[in-house]
Amino acid sequence: MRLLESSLPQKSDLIHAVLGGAICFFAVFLVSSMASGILLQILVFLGWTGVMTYQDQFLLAAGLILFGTVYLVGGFCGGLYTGYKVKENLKVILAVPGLIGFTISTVIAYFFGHIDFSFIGMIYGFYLPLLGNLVGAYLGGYAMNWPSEEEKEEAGKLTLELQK
Amino acid sequence: MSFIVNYLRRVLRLPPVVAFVALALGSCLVGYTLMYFELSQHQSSTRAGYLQFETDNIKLEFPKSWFAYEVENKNASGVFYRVGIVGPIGEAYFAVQDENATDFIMKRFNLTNITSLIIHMANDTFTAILGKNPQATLLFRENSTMSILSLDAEYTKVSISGVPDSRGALHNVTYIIIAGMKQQRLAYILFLSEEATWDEGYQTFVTILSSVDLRRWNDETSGI
Repeated sequence: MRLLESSLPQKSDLIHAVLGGAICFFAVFLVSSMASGILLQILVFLGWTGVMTYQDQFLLAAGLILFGTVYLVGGFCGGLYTGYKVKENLKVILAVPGLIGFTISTVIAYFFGHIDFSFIGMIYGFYLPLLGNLVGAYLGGYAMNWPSEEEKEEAGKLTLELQK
Repeated sequence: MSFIVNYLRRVLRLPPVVAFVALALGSCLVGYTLMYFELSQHQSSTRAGYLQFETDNIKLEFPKSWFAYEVENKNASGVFYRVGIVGPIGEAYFAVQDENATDFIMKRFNLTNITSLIIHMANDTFTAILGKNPQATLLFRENSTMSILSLDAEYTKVSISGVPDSRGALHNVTYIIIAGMKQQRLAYILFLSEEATWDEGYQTFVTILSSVDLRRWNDETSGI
């Protein structure tokens, strides 16, 4: 029973994870408007605006670019905060910022009619943002908790001393 | 300063940070590669720097720095089909309507022939601009006929000065409206460009026009 209790996330951890979700959403919100504008400017600069004619393929390519520049970054920011505040149960806790950030942005997009339920629309507006936020949050959280070289050396020394 | 550099050096070596940077850069690279392949796949075989746009209704070529779209509306009044090609130095619109839609338009606006339709379109465009800038002026520059898309069409060229853009800046814009009818089906083409870029824009428009194959228009058995 005690073992089960210790493996469950604490209430304070969950609060920090929810705050991480809010950070993830705001980061996505801030970066997305800039990234879309920059993407368009790059297309104009390269003289590639014609690619927008082929809607499905363009949405897939733009979705991949936004995955790396917006959703992954948003999730990473949320994960950094959560990983800074929470040190245990990271496998479970770090799913929360990504999921919350994704849910808020999807609900807002749905109410503004920005969700397209076609196959490509779902990849562009649903699967890639979800994956980006989740992966970003895990990478951010583990980046904050990854042992540095000094910490690894110290842990090694302690193990050796214990063995002696 | 050296503290920051050392800190960054340490942080950037962390496997999750390396994975984050690699994923972010990798997805951007894949995205741009996909776009590049898409452009090369639709490259025109006859005109350098032009792309092919091909649907069930139309086939045309347009410059790589422009983009094209098609809209088809079917309702009780008939079939309205339109293709827009928008670029940095001009905009072109091709529209075709079936017999019912043509009849509907002619009756609704009390139009008797192609000339009255063209004048109606020019005035309609000017009225919309006057709503945004009451100081705008309209000048009819040319009226004549031409043979285009296998039909004898009429056209008019007008210049409107003081056309506001989305930021409120005023421009002098020249429009050419071309219209014709074949088997009671109306086709009209509109091209517009700023006066400063008209020559270059019009040349591009003529190149686009020479590549147009309105498949359903030419297919006499189809709805349009």
